[in-house]
Parts: sequence; structure tokens; C-alpha cells
Amino acid sequence: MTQADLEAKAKQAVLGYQKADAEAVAKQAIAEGADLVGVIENGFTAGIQEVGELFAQKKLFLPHIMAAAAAMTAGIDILKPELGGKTAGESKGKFVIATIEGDIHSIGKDIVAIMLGVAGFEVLNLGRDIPCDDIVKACIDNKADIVGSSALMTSTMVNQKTLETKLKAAGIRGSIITNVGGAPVSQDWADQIGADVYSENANDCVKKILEAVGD
Amino acid sequence: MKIIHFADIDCVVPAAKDKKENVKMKLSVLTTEECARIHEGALDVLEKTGGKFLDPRIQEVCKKNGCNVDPASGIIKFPRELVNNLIKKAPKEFEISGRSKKAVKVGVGYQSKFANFGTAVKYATFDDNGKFVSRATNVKDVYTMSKIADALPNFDMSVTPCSANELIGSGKSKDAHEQLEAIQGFTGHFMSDWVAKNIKYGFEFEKILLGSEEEAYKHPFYTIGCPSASPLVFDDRFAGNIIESTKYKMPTMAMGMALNGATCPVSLAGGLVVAISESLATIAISQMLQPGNPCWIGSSGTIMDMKNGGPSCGAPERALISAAYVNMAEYYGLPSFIAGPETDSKLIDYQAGHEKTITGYMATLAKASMHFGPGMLEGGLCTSPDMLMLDNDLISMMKYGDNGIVVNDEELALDDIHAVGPGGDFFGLPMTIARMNMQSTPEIFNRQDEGNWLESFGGKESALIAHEKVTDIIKNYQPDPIDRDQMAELEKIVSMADEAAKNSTSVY
Repeated sequence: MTQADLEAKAKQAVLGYQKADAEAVAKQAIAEGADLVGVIENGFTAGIQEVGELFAQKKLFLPHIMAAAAAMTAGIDILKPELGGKTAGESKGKFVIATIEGDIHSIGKDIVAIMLGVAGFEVLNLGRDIPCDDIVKACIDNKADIVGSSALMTSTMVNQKTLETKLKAAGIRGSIITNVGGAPVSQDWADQIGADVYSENANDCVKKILEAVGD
Repeated sequence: MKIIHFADIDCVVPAAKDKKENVKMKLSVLTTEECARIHEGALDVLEKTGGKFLDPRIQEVCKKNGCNVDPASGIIKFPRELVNNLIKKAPKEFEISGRSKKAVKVGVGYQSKFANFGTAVKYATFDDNGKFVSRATNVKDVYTMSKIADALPNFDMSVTPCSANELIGSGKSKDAHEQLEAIQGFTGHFMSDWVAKNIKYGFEFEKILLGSEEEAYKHPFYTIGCPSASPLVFDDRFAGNIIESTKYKMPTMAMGMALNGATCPVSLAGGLVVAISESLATIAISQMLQPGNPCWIGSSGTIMDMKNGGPSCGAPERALISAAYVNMAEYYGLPSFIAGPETDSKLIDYQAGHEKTITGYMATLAKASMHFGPGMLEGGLCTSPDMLMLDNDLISMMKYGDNGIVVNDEELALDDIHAVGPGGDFFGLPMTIARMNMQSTPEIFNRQDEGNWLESFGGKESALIAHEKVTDIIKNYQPDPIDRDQMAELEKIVSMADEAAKNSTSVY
């Protein structure tokens, strides 16, 4: 199969929301010694960008973008170990995201993570109920540009404030953009705790973070 | 025909029917066979897939009771018969009481009752220029909303109406301050926002106001929400809440909160299977911890609106899910606590009126034991005193509709029809006069012609009339006061909670 065919197949797997097809084409690309960066950039990434554009035009919706992202991730996960240090695509920034300590609600945060990935950010999704210390460590270890925390309950919002304090104590607050979200969270709360960006929903988050990184 | 003068008779407001006799009005969105299929599906989920329970104390009690527990993953699988037997231990009906409002019985067969909505983070009302605006809630709003619910006739229970946002991260015990305000404003039963580690202070509140530990165990003021995080995850909040509340014999709220398409199947029936399995697991654990503990089976389930990317509280799907939950509650013979009347609207407008009616009325006709939702705007982020006032009218109308039409000799009134004959009128008949106060009579909604409406109300919309009434309640209504010594004791408890908060880093 030609490089162009492999890339087209990879793109189609994403556009068709076919995880199994994405995995198959990734394995085929490795077996055939293809240009794996090209398969990622012109195949999987091109596919998700097209889905993202259609989502922005309200021609596709949340289930489509989640399914397309799952297919893309499945394919890229197979290719990553084979890249040998090469990088695929230009990242708009490293974004560490987590549901804050004490809170296990993750659906909204996961949607935000997917949308940031589609927008070109390198996203490290730590999961839910993540201790503030672990979030800070992930930011340091990964030289994150942005850190986002989500809280669904007023009882756990307080840990977003704790995270601000711990980022300062670790000496990295000045070099990282902080983003807070979650149903009870507001601009007032972001202002009160000194967070840089409040986002009301996933689209709002992508828009404001792109502005914050000067894109 | 003898004409009775209006002044000579006692106009009788119909006594609220307690136990419902008129079952022909009952809305069944599920047949009994369908309820059984959903139940069997839920048992299947609990037995084969199980739930993830993060707290070792829950794992231990479940193991002791015969569940299959994997401590490493936290997965607990529940044998079918065990769940069936434990559900039967929960009382079929129970009384909910507060510090002075009349206690009411809840269970299958009683007319729907209502609690104000909680817990919001925004408060919306009219400003001095008549503009409807929202802002962040504070601890005083907790008192205001609780007091308004206390003043209105349709609220037998109160959910902590809003959050004391200014206390988040203040080092103080936010929940203790909220509950101190709530209990001064509302005198009935609560579904409260005590966090697990502070439920003991809620018990102290009960002891102070009821006079003894024995009375506090017998007549708890607080129902405690024990929600899962769908699908099938039960976290530290769940564990703390259910362990602490059952210790004090506080009713358990077994609340399903699945979002169709996101945290449960997009199909409504599939979503019910997930939500019911979570509710059943909660009831089972409540009964393991405290056999015979009162349990509500509750739903706050709805759809994830795929085109909007968020949940909807005003959708007809939410109304169907709530009504289905009431049918399931009847299938189990347990009291239900469901969503409605609710709305996604940010304003008191046509959307709010429509969504509140559809979500409130379907569950009312299904005979929900308790509704929450009155006062809600913006899908639960916002509460409004003006909305609560209008919802009080809506509830009166829904309750009226729920009475249905009685057909018997007296009601057919053939003698009157013959006596009046063609061309007459029925105004002065004893039956008409005796029943004039039994008609539906809204307090806010206006039925006048335009001229009278302009003259009496200056052409104001109902929301502004509601606002005037609310302003009057805020200024003049005094809930039954708490004795000065008892108040000092309650404040002492809040100080203890504050002191403990200073030295605690855990949320629960």
C-alpha cells in the first residue's frame, strides 16, 4: 500500500469513527515500514481536524467527536512507540488536566480534554480525584504550559484554590497558565483564587486557552 | 329552590387528601411487566458487572453480607437474592419531620409533596430597575430561600437551597453555616448538604432542638443524599454519607443520577437499568448498615443533550425518567424523590413555564412521593425566590389536576340540572356556593380581563407580581423562632465544626 493510501485509510478510520480500522492501519503502516509521522499528521490528525471543523460548524456533535477521537487515539497509541523520538505535528502547548482531589466526576473534564486535543494541544489527562501534589508533579515532569482542573461540587472547589497555592510553592506558578472549570465554578471563583482562565464549557475552554497561549 | 346566602355558609377549602383513593389518574409510563424487566436488568448488572466501591469500609460490610468483593479493584458484585431481600427490609412508608412543621407521611399511595430545589450556586431576582439579574449565592440566601419555602403552603420539605459560596476556601465549615441558616428559615424536614464528617453535627442539631438523643433517632430532620457517580462508581463521598447517616438513622436518599448517552445508555430503558442498579445498591448497603433504615428511591437522571454538550433538566426525557422512577418506586413499594418542576431557562419565561409543567405534572400524575425542583432555573445552577413563588402556584394547579374527576350521584348533580332547566344558571345553588372555594385559585397567575388586570396590577407580568409577594415575605414573614438558649447551643456546634475545619484537609 502506498504512503498516500495508508494516510487516506487512517483519515477515513477517524472520519468513520472506526477504532478497529485505525488500529489495523497503524499496524499495517508499521509492518510496511511507512513514514509513521506522515500517517499521523496526514491521516489521523487530518481526520480529527476535519471532524473538529464540522463540529465547529455544528454539522457534527459530541458523540461524533468523542468516537473520532477514540479512533485517532487508538491508532496513534500503536504508532507512538515506533516513532523513535520523532514528533508528529506542531503542539500548541502541553496541557495537564485533572478532576480535582476529592471529586470523581470526569465526563465534562474528559470532553474538555478531547476538544483540546482536537485543537492541537498535547493533553495529559491525569484522571479524576487527583491529589493536588500529583497534579503539580505532572506539571513539573512534563514541563506543562497549562494546567486545568475541574470540580463538580462546591465541597471540592476548595482544592482548586489549594492547587494554586501548591503551584506557587513549587515555584512554577509564574510559568504556567491555570484554568478552572466545572458546573459550580465561575469567573468570580477564578478571580478569587487567582486562576488565569475560567471556562464555562469545552468550547469556551479551547477558545480562551488558544487566546491565552497567543494562538 | 332554597337559596343559601354566601354569608350564611362556611366555604370549605378542600382538606388535603392524604392517602390517595383516586388511582384512575395515575400515570404509568411503565407497565408492571416493564418494571420487572428493568428490575431484573438492574439485578443482572449488580450480579455480573457489579459496582466500584472505593471505600474499604463498604467493601467490608458487603463482604460480610455475602457479596463478592475484589479489594484490589474495589468491584463488588451483589447476589440477586441478597439485593431482593435487603430491599424488602426498607420501610414502605415513613414520616418525615422537622423542628416544628407538621410531620408528613411519605410512601406509595400518598399525594405528591414538594421540596424547594437545591443546591444552586447562583441567585436570580429582580433588581430595583425591574431587571432580572443573577449573582453568586451566599449564606444569607440560604436563609432567605428556606424562609420563603417555609412561608408557602406547598413545601413539606426543603433541599439546602444554595451554596454559601463566600465560605468556600475560607477555612470555615461551609456546610455547618449553611445548615444553621437553613434550620432557622425552614421548620420542616431537609435533604441537607452536610458533608460526611459533619453529619454528626447534624445529629447534634436534632438533639438540641428535640431535647434528647432518643427523640433525635426517632424523628430525624435530615435525609442524606448518597449519590453514586454513574456509571456504577461509589466514591468516598458516598461511603462517608451512607455510613455516617445510617449511624444516626437518618433517611437514605438512593439517588440515580445517570446521564443518557454519557454515563448510561442513550436509550431511556437502558439508562433506567443503570440508575436503578445504583439506587438498589445504595438501598442494599443502607439496609446492611442499619436494617430498617428509611430509604427514598430517587432520580435526578436526564439526557446529555448531544447537540448542546450538557445535561438538560427541562427535557421531556427528564419528565419520562422521573415518572418511570415513580413507577419503579411503586413496584418496590418505596417512597420516591424525583426531579420536577424544573427548567433549563435562565429567565422566568415561556420556556420555564412549559418545562416546569411537563417535568412537574408527569411526576405528579405518576404519584411521586416528593418532588424537588421548585425555584430552579438554568438546569439547577440557579435558584430564584420569584420562581419559587410562581412554582408554588404551579404546584397548587398540578395538585388540583391530580384530583381528577369524581363521578357519582352527587357529582353528576342531575337534580340541579333538572331544577335549573334550560336557560337558567347555577350560580346560587347550594352546591356552587359550598364549593366556590374548592375551585382552583391561583395566587399569582392572573385570570382577570385586561381592564381589571391593568387596574389591579398595572399590567405587570406574573413574575413581577411574584416578586412583590416575595419581597413582602422576606420583610414580614417570621418562621417559628428557635429558643434563645437552643440557638446558642446550635451556634456552639457550628463553632466546633469551624474549629474542626481548621485542622482538616479532607473534603469528606
